Amino acid sequence: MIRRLQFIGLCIVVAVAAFSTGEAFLFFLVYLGLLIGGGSYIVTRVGLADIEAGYAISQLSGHVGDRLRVTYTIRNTGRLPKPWLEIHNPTSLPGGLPGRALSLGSRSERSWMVRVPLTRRGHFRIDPLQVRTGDPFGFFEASAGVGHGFTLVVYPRIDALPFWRLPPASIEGAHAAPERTLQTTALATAVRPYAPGDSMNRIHWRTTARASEIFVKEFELEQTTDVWLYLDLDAEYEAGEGDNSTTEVAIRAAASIADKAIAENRAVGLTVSGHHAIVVPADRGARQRLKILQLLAAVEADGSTPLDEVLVTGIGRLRRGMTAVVVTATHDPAFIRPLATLRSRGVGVVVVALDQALFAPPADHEAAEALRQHSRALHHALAEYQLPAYTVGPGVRLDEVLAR
Amino acid sequence: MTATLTAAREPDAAPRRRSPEEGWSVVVLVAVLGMVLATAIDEPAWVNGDGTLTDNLVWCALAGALVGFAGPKLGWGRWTTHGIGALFAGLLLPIIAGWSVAPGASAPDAFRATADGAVEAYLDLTVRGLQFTTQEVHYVLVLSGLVWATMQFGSYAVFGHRRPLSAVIVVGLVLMVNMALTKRDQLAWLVLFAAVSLFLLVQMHAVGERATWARRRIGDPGSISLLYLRGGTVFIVGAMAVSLILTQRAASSPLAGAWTGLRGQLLQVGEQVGRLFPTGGDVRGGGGVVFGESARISALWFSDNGVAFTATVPPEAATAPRST
Repeated sequence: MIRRLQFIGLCIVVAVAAFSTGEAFLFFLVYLGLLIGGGSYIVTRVGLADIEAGYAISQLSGHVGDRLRVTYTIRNTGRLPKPWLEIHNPTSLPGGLPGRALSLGSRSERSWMVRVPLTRRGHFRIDPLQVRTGDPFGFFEASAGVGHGFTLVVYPRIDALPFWRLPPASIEGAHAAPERTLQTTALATAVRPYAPGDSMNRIHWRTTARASEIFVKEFELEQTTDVWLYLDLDAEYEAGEGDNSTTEVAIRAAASIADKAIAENRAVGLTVSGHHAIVVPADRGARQRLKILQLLAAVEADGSTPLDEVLVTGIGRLRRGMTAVVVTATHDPAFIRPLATLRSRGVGVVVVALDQALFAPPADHEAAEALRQHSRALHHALAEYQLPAYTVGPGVRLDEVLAR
Repeated sequence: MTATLTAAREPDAAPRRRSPEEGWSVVVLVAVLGMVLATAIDEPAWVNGDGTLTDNLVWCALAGALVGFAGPKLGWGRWTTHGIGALFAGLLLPIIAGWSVAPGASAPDAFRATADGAVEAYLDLTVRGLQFTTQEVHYVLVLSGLVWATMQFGSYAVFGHRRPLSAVIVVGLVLMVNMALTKRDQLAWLVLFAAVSLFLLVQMHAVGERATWARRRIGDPGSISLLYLRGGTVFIVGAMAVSLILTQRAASSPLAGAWTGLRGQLLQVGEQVGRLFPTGGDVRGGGGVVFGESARISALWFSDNGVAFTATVPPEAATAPRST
């Protein structure tokens, strides 16, 4: 094939031949080559001169299902029109950000907005805006980067779980849900008018003085306090694809449960058994929510440690009154025994089991039957130890499945 | 029948592509390149001034381009395509050349006529030691092969390698050599060739960019290609118009004097090589005369103001009394 050096050599030969012979056809070639080559070079060189461009991103974080809005502006401040400009943002976002090809007249401006759905959780890079131009023949090309890059964090989708209730830890004075009680507890939550039989020590004197009527305090049972989530990301039990994979559904379930628990002002801790076991100590509040979501945005199903080992290792972190929520796709019942021992220590237990047979039913009938048997055996073992369990499949609504 | 109907109703079945990925316009442009080349070679009537002998060159160009197009589309590699193309050329070109000297002959007779003519020419020039041969068909065969091979290479460069510049340069080189050898004015063919080549470059660049546009999700690649082609057309028309004007107004040969020493040697070489080439085509002269044992007479008479020869007379001959 023709190399660049050979091409240049050929051009020189033609030019020398033209000036030696004065032949019209050789001069035509020389002039045409000069105009096309030189014109292409000039068009490319001036193509990015006097151009101002910028972009703005509506948010630097979001949840799966949100829409990202990016606003682009490009302005030609020069007199020469720009016949060909390509604008795009290189990004690691799935599907990318749509670019645009346009031409700009002299001293003109174009602005537009693109909306991109966030389809996958993760940390994504949005590189500086690239403006590219060139000649129609592809001889020359020029490009420039504009602005700074950003990191966009896409958190997992959070499903509202209005009917989700944590099981109570087996300690006195604790309950899974707010509940009025006649006993005097540390949780004085409301006042009501005095009724005959109410104890004198329950009178709320300030309200009584303000209202000129006797009011008494109402008490609630203390809720189970902390939640510790165990998210099992063992690669061996990964099944399904995309949003309907065990990993994505498990992460969505963990995020939704953590969000609900933090909204109820509980302290939430998290252990993720991925490639490395990552532990987020229990805490309350929006900051803890952000920590958990950022971790859940980044994890993958690349773990190899069995769940029972993870539970045994982390069992020391569970205090009396906590509830352990285990989200797993495993069908190995070995993890049930360590969980069962927690009950005697006053730790509540919930298992969210992702059924592999539902996520990736094997084509082979025998393999499918074997998987179903494993699943049945797991649920039987959980029932035997009286551990509450929810079975989750692909494409289900978590608020319905996790309702109790 | 049932299976056929089921397959036809399959909703996920991808629609069968009926046009080449580069678009039919690129196929047409390559075909036009070949036709321009063949016509430009046919026009000077290279074979002894008989233009009808090379009328089939256009078909040879199209056949070569077809092989270069079909190979990549059928998934053949470079050497497979060129090998199969050479095989077809070996079978078809002798027949086509035979038909040019024996119109209406059957294919075997045409093949035989070409074979006989080629052998006779070989014997004339080598065994019999003749200065020239009177055979014509071997010239037609060589020209047909040249056109076929050039277009096969060019077409494969476009559709196989996606390197249209290589095709343009190789085809252009053959065209330029043809124009350099003849005195006929073929500037119109060169202008047409240049226009087609530039459009081919624009189209192929747009084809190459389509994947980038699709990856960057830059609108509909088809409509962007049109925008690209529109800009390219303006560029090409402007550049060609200015080039033509400049060619008419500003063409000179300031370096002509630098090669004067080479003229004699070039003429000698030309005479040596010329015995292998046909007469005709209004061959461009070297601007001088070479005296030898024999000389070929071409169909064109041209005059030259240059010095044909210089005679040196001995002094005694110059002073001797002239007899009456």
